[in-house]
Amino acid sequence: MKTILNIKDLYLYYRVRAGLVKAVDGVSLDLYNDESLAVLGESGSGKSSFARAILRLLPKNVYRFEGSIYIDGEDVMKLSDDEFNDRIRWSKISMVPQASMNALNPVIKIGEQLAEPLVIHRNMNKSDALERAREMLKFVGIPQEFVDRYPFELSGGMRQRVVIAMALITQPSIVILDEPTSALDVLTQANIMNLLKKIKIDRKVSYVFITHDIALSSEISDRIAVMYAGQIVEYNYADKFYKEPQHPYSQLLLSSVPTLREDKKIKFIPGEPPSLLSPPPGCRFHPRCPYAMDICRREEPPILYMDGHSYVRCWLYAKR
Amino acid sequence: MQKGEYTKPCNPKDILCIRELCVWHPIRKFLTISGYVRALDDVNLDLERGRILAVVGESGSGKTTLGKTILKIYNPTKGKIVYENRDITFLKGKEIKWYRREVGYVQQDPYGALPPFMNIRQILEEPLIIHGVKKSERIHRIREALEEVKLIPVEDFINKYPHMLSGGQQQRVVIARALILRPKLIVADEPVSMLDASVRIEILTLFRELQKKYNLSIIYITHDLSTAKYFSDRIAVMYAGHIVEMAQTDAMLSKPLHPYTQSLIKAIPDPDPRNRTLFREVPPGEPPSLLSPPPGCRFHPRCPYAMDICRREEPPTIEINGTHSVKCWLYG
Repeated sequence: MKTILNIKDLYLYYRVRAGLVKAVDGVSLDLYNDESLAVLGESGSGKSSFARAILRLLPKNVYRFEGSIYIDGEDVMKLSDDEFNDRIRWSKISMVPQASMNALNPVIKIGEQLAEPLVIHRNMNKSDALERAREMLKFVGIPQEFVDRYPFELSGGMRQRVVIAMALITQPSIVILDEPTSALDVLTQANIMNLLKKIKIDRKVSYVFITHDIALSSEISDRIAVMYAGQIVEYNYADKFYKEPQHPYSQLLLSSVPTLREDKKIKFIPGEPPSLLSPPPGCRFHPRCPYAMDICRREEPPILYMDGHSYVRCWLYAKR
Repeated sequence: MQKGEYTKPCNPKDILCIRELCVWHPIRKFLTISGYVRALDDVNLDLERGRILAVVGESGSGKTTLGKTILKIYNPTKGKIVYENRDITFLKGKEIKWYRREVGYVQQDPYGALPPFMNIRQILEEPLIIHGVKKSERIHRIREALEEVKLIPVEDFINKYPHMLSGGQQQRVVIARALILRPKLIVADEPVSMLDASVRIEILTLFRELQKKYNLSIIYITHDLSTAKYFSDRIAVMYAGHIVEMAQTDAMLSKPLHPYTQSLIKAIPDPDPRNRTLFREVPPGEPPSLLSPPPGCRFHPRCPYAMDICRREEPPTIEINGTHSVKCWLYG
């Protein structure tokens, strides 16, 4: 299978007064054509930083940003910021940001906001772009006459649909969804998930779905990457992951999810996730891990491939 | 309107009994009132002593208004609230102070609920000072409260400020503060929705332990049916200011009767890789505006089973058996 996004040894550190925040610390991942990848992590695990690193939407206090990112076979780390903006961002990869229902400009009509990426990135004239905006609104299930409305006239779910339409309007092949439904109600969330699944089939896009919600991640993932303290600790097929998670953190995370349909004893993970300022030595999960061994406290576990594609970062699986 | 039909008398053994409660917030334009936001409409509810009732609803369903009205932060427009056989609907002055001691409040956002300029000792001491606990006893009570919520060793936490704690630890402080006056009833408004998945269950387990230890009665307000399943004895489902269904937790989840409850349960995923090829049956649209709710049943514009009568008349609350009631014409 062809990979569309290929990330190797990606690092993103921020400098703050207290030291260095190692938000993304050596992440390697592949995203395949027409597949979706869920990046699962708790708050402070670095998952949003990871998304922003791919799109190069970085704050000013970046201390270290390196590694390799190939989008559609092209090494985008070599591109200047202007080139990246011209050729990659929006054109090949776009994003639905967190709390994006509040990301719309309140004083610009929906249609004009939707058409803007086309005018800027596709050099389209305004009337054509507005026509495309109408089609796009219809596609995400909003009546076409809404092009002339302002964001406050729309409900939260509809605004979310507009932002999704905007991310799709330039026909990128990759869309990063950063907690796209976290502020929405249960029924609205289910409706948006249905829409995202439909888009994936109709438009052949690949998603990177960033979420903290384990149950929701299963809605839209072919593969799962579990992030803990800036690192991917497990990267696995969804079919395998939900049945037999490998890393102890994944196992505990799954057993901490209350389920509606099946009766199981739920457990919690004792302790708190570590600070990204001073992660523990060795394996970052060892202070909370029930299987922690001596080596876990001393040495960082390497990436251990289980087959060609999935891996786990845990000493339990090392052949010694 | 069917109001006044469900006037079951209060059971004197119950800790809390609410009858025909309405909270309408006036919308003012200049000097006149142009309309009302009908946040709560004709709500009836009973809470047995030592039980946990989950109030489940989407945002704007009125669940937080219900909690705040029970806490006497909002005043009801109509109806009555009976706590321990005492009508507290219109309490004033000293009696309010008595009531505040009896009822604790756990807020949604722990960081917003804790004053950033006070340390943990001061935060926990304040309610004790207000309610006249002797100085010599206070520090003892504070230490005990911190031990109960497992912020141990106490010395590590007592002089810290809220921003120095993690979200889970902050929520423990909020729980300790709610319990420090030994209340009998707790209103917990989304106590874990701001926390991470792995911490959520830990806090709920702790809460449950304390509930058993002190035989607390809890109103657990949440939008999350799956935590309600693990935490509550009974569930009340709210939609657009009404309680549309109330039942024991097991019965509610295994045999939901109201079409809204049914679609709510259908909409919630469990972790399962098969979900990715599944399209969920979800009613389209959004909850109605509470300023001008639709006539008849408030769910009818989204209901797959809507009949003629649903569009005209508000459904009554129908008792299916002693513990299960539903506000829907399908059962009328």
